[in-house]
Amino acid sequence: VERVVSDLARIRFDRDEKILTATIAGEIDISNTSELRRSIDEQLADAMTVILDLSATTFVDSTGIALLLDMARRLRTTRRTLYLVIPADAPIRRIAMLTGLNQEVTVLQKLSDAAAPHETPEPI
Amino acid sequence: MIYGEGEWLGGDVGEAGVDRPLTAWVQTRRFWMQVSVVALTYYIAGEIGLRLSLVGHSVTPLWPPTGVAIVALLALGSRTWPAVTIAAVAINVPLGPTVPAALLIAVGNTIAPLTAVALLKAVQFRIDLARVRDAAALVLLGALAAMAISATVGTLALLWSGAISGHHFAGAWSVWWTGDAMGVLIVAPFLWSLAHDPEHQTRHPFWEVIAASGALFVVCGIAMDADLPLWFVIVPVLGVIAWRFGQRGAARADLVVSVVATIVAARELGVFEGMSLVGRMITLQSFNATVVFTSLLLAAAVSQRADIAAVQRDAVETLQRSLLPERLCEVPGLELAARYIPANDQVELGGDWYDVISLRDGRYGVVIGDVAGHGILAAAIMGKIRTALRAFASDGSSPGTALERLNSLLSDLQEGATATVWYGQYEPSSHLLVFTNAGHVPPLVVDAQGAQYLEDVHGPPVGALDRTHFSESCCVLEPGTTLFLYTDGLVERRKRGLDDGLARLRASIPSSEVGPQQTCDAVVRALTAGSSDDDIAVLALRVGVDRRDLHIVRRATAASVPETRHLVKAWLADNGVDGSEAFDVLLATTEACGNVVTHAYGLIPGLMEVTGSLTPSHVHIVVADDGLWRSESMAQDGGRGLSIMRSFMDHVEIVRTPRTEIRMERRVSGARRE
Repeated sequence: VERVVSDLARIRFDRDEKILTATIAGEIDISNTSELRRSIDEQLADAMTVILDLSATTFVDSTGIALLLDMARRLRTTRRTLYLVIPADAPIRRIAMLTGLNQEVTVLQKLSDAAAPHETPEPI
Repeated sequence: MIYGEGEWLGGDVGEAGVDRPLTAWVQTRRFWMQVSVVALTYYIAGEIGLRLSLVGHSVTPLWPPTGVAIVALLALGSRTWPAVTIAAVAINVPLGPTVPAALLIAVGNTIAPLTAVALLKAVQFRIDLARVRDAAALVLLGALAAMAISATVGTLALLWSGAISGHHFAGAWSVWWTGDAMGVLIVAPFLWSLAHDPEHQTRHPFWEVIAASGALFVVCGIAMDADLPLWFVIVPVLGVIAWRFGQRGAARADLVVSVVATIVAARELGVFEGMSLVGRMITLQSFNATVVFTSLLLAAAVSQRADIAAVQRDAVETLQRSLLPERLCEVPGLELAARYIPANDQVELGGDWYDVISLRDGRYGVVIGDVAGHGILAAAIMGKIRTALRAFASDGSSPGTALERLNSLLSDLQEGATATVWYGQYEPSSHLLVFTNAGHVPPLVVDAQGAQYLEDVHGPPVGALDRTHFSESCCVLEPGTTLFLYTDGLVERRKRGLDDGLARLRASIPSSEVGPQQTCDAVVRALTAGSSDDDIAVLALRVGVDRRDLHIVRRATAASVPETRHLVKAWLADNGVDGSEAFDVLLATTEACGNVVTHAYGLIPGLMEVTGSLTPSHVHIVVADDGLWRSESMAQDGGRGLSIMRSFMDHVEIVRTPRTEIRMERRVSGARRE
């Protein structure tokens, strides 16, 4: 399933049993965070593991960070797990670290790391 | 002290009192000078009239003083009547028959022109005789009706004094009447023709004046001198003079012809030879009357038609001028040029137009369009569309919305009008061009890489469908880029297709190093070879290489935030700032804008303003708003935004003056600017 979020971003969902992978390409800011939240919520259903691949995300502002933190909290209360994929050279990596996102959510270097995330926790 | 003041006041009043009689005296003197001049002229005209008399000093077929009197009374006012009376007395008393009779004749000579003037004024007579009704009024009221008075009074005076007997009354009356009437018809238009009137003066080549005068004298000679009655040869010559030279020429020719005919008749020469007195009288008067009526009416008809044609031409020119902008508005950082080329055989108007509109938020609207069809209807619709689009654009409508509103306006008007329109909004600070194309031929963008068409078309021509949605495209016009807009007349030729025209346009457009003025001229020359079957409008704009500081004003809504960020990004890139430095500035700017959007205003968002400037080592960004910031919530989730700004910029300062400004600064390595 693919969604366009306010011309700024494009989000693609891939489902493998109970693992939902959402790949977000483009920019996340105050203008499209609520739409983004709705699109993801629609797809959550019974997914036990949610992976947000932000490798192709070129911009994220504080509302986007707030969205990710909130989502991590909500999934945790229902005993589900959220992983973020943010490569080391991604432009948004610095803001993710500065806002403490990596302390709340497991951040992976690349999507393939999610295959065995528990064995290779992201060392940030 | 008080006494002194009173005396001073008294003196003042006294001076004013002296002043009034002085003016009155000047006026009185001027009046009597006018009266003297008029009286003298009247007297001289009378002497000339007597020289034209057929028998001795009595029967005069042409009495010029009546024309002088009417001209003077119309020009100087009826109050100058004493001039007429005095001069008439001076002329008639020596002629007799008795002094009382001469005085009575003078009274009749005064009342007649006064009546004529009153009648002419009542019908709003104009002395330029430019309308048929003026010529008719002069003949019927000024001459025939009013001069019956002087004829009647004069003939009764002769009868009363015993100069004529009762059975001569009718003959004497008719001679008197026709003489006075001809005086009015021949002399008054001639005198008016001498008055300088630059408005109605058309220049004629010297040879034409000479040829006309020569022809007139030749036919006069033929008509008068021949043994055969060839009167009629004069008519076509007078006709041509009236047609070419108007009332002024006609009046002078009439005078010449009538005076020549009268002299010839008085001397019993040429065609008048051997005629009886009555025969000469009737022939001469009929001839003069025919000549004068014909040429007066013809000249009036010609000038009336010419006036109508001139009014139409003026209207067309005025309309065309008013429909296109006289001068394009100045856009900072843009060079602009436009041309409008009417079609070859164009007496009629076209429906092509262009426009540059200054918008409220520092952007500029650029428009080119073409109303389907030609002629005054297309032009009028174009005028409406141009005005409506200006109004919609000034409202702050985006290009797509503006064209949607224009489309529904045209649908509502139900005139079946359609127009192709290309409307773009250009922001000088960012060079961003947002545009919508409603069925118009594609504009050409010329930059260092060459010429490319902006091929996006977002819908059919406006007015074609009742409800149409127009989307928008955007592009950034880099400094030095030329945008060339035109109408289809430039690229469509009868025997060639549109593709061929577009290819030829792309081939002929100069590089963007050539300025807009020369670009317009070069393209028009190359594609039209000086003539076109269709009207053509072209508009060229070039983005100046010299960049201004960044200045963006947007409504403080979430939707404005990404757009603002993209503009800042383009501005930074233009100035050599990119990579992570640019990202940091963009992130901080986005946070600052986000705070304004979330916290500055209540339910109704106000404006936010982003300004940017560069020094060799730093980027400065100021995000300002006029909001109240009621909740001090910047410290809550806004606090995260603020801490991001502080982390990513070297210096962040919040100033409340009372507008709130977030001033930020970051060191950069790549800034190209001084």
